[in-house]
Amino acid sequence: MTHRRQRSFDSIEFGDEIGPITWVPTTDIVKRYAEAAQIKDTRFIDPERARQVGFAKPIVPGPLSATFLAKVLKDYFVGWRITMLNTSFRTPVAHGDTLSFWGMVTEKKHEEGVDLVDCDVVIENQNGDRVIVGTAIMTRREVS
Amino acid sequence: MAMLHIPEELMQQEVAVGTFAITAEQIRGFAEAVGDLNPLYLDPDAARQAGYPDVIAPPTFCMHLRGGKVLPEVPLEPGLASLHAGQELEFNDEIYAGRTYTVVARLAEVYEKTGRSGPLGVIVREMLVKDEDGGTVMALRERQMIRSPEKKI
Repeated sequence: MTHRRQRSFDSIEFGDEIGPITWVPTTDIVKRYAEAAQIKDTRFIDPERARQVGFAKPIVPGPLSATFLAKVLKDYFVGWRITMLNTSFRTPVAHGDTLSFWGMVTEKKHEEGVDLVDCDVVIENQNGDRVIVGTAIMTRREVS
Repeated sequence: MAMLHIPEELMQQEVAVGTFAITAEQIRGFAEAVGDLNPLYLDPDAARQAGYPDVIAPPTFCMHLRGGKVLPEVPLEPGLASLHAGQELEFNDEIYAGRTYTVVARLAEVYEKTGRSGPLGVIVREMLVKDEDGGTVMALRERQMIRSPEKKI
């Protein structure tokens, strides 16, 4: 088992950039996610069903892209936990799009014995469209 | 003319999503499906070394608990198109393997506005994951946008 080194509060600075990290959500990934999230509606897989509900073609579920975002944050802030992750799904993501994640530290503070870091987060597609924008608050993990 | 017609009683209703005894296998299954192989989700020893009693769930594991149930269900006029516009996850604690959680949902907010592409309805649902003591472990707030079918999403 490889133990990853915790990211220290002191090593984090305002303006630190996270990423860019790329990810391609394939149809296979969407299918696996739909199964894991127990999504019975086939709108994310079946073109005809997608058209019935107003989409031009099947898209990637927004929460799947948010899952990727959460993973990137957890991988960067080793030893920290996500306290809040707020995302807006701006533009539909098609299967096979190349997505780039990046984030930036916008605040760093210590409140009531807890280390907190605020981040802006963005996912762009291969055309430069911002498909997801959001904010996150990371805190130094407190185990109950 | 209003796009959304929500019965008042629905606005005040808390709906049971279910009670879930979480296993390490469920957490592993979700983590592997989303390609997040963080040892804290997969390896009890790694989780214990980090101070946890057992493996913890990835942040969006709540989507597994929610499943396809978008609750409370809101009846929409025929032909309206809907889009998942965003979500907010707020955590007070982790979800642990070996514990049982109760999940409830309610309508948090319903409103309409006019955007660049015409009238839009917005439904905000809040789902709470509670531990055995009734404490809220996490909240998921999802925004569903409703619009006229003339506009393709």
